[in-house]
Amino acid sequence: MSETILKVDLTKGSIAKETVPPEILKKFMGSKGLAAYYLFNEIPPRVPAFSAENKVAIMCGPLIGTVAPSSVKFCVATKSPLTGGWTDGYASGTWADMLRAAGYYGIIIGGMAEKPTYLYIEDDKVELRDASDIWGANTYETIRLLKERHRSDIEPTVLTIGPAAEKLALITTVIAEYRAAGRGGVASVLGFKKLKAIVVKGHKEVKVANPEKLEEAAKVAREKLIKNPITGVRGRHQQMGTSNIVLGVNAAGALPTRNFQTGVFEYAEDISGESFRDTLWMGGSRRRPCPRCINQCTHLAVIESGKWAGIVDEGPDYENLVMLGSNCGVADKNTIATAEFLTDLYGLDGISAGNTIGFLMECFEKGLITKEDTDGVNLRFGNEDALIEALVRGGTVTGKLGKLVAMGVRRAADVIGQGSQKFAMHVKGLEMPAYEPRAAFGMGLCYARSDRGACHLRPWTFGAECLGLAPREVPYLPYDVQGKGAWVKTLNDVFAAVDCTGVCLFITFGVDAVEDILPMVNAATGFNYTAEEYIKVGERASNLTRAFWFREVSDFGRNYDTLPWRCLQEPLPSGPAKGKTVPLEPMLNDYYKAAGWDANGKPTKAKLQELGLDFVIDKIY
Amino acid sequence: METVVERKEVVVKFMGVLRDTAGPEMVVTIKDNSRISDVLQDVQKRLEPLMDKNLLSKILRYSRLVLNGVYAPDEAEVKPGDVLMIISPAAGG
Repeated sequence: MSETILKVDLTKGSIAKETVPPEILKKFMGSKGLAAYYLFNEIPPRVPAFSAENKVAIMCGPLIGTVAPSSVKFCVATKSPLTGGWTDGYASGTWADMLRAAGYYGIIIGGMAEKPTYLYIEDDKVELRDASDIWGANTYETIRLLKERHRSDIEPTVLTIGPAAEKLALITTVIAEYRAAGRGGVASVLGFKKLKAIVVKGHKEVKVANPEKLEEAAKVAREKLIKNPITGVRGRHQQMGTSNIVLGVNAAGALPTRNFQTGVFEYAEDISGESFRDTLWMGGSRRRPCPRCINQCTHLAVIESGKWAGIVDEGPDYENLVMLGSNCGVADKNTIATAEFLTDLYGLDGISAGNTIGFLMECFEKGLITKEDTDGVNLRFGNEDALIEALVRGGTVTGKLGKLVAMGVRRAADVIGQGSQKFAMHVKGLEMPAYEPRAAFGMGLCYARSDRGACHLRPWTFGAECLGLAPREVPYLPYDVQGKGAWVKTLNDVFAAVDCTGVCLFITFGVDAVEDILPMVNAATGFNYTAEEYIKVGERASNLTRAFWFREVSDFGRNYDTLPWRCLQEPLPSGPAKGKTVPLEPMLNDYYKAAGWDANGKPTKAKLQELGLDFVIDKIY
Repeated sequence: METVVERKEVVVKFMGVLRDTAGPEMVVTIKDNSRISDVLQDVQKRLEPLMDKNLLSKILRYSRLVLNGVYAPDEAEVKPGDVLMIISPAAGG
């Protein structure tokens, strides 16, 4: 197969079309892998994240736009202004389908425009256009305006940044057709470059190497997904989306509550997926599925009464629900749904925003900050109005409070000081998501060594550790240490391989990540990867992003693969994990050994050579 | 004076896929020296008419077990009034 990417230079105003060399395509496949390849090679070492030299990659995988189930997930990657290292994020929905229908596998964006600009793609026509009139508009308004402007025989799809990214907040995401992608401030890099949006219209068919075999393999996967009680028809995702796990996570003592002070929320029933299903989601009938998806995890919340009446928005998913809910001590569903709506509207990362606001609430309650610092807002846990006010100010980067929210938790802790760094819940500067690692040690290891900072999906061990997705035996139990490092390493490579394909990770709850997805990849690409080669694609991508950190951050190494003080030193006060802290070091040792990294966490030369990453060696040695 | 007879029962609470079949909770009668494994057997018998037997068996083998707020092994003894939480498969992200 041959794939074309666009290379956009905003400084020159130029656009080039380039074919991905076949050997590179096979080696890095797509999405995360290909984004890592291009960005490692095209971003000059040690340039600031906010600079014309930094680049953003938007990349598809080979299954996007095909008949494969949930084949919609595309990647947005860059050097992060929040962490200073690698970041990549993923969104589903319909945007990437249209990009492939226009004939493109990805876009690399460099340079910096003189004035607000948007990229218009209609099949072979690709142009930069003036966005001065939409600069400042919120994400939903931007999408509406650009759809109206470019609607013709088909509806265009729109990817945009929000006001938060325009103002260079550090905790932003892009919004693509109402779905968010990217943690680590990826949208703000586009904001710095003054690229407001990308509008796409495509009329072409996505070609694959062997359509019959792909349909055959997709049918097998679909049938498995349909029968599965989580992913299937009337399954837990169709009823409650990812939020179906709230009660299970709380029962395991792992539901972040009041800035991770405990893992048990006394109002968990009120914010459970079951509760959302039975009220705002109308029994699960308000599904908003992605194309070709069986899981159908996204729901439309309609707030019909109370002070937020009239708000209609997708979500909240598990992560946003918890980080904007229990982590801020808020138990009112309408408030949580409104909070999530605001993060989408302003283009804020809901996980980072909920984490940072939870941190600020703890600072406020401990007297480390006062109303003087919050512009008069009574920033206490459980104060619903304060949560909303903090999001509005953070999303518009307004006043002292807005600036504190927008800078993310690490910088906010540095500004506030007074020991608050001990409970600033981040790894490498990226805010921790919605699993308490003291209650699931594998998640602690995932957070500590993930290639973008504290990430809930690199890999996601929580289901196996605490939610019954693996048998009750070593190393899957939540407090197991022995064997956990090697297991997490294997799982990480498989997850990364799935990220390279373009299917949603959530289908792996109903199909095997290798046995069922690989036949679809081979039918689409014609590359005939063996299982080992396929997993190596993921391992290669993960080593390349790891090398990116070593190249970009002079003192990078084991000292960065750590957890907040609270997770390592402060025992959980309640729940099944009462008294636990994370024993990180032995797990990290095992991980490094399994990964072929040295004691400082650096990929060895031998490992880089084994993965065909020879071009990396002289950049980090 | 009223005679108080201690009821030999434990409350079983369900999270995850079993909650969809069994509801939020059920009461299981136990004998002296009963263990979690005995309670699981009882649960299995009662749920078998409602779902595939093999699937149910696998789910119960995989579920995490929290007895009175603490993880417990299958062989842990249960006493009247205990609360056993069965965290059965669920997946999010």
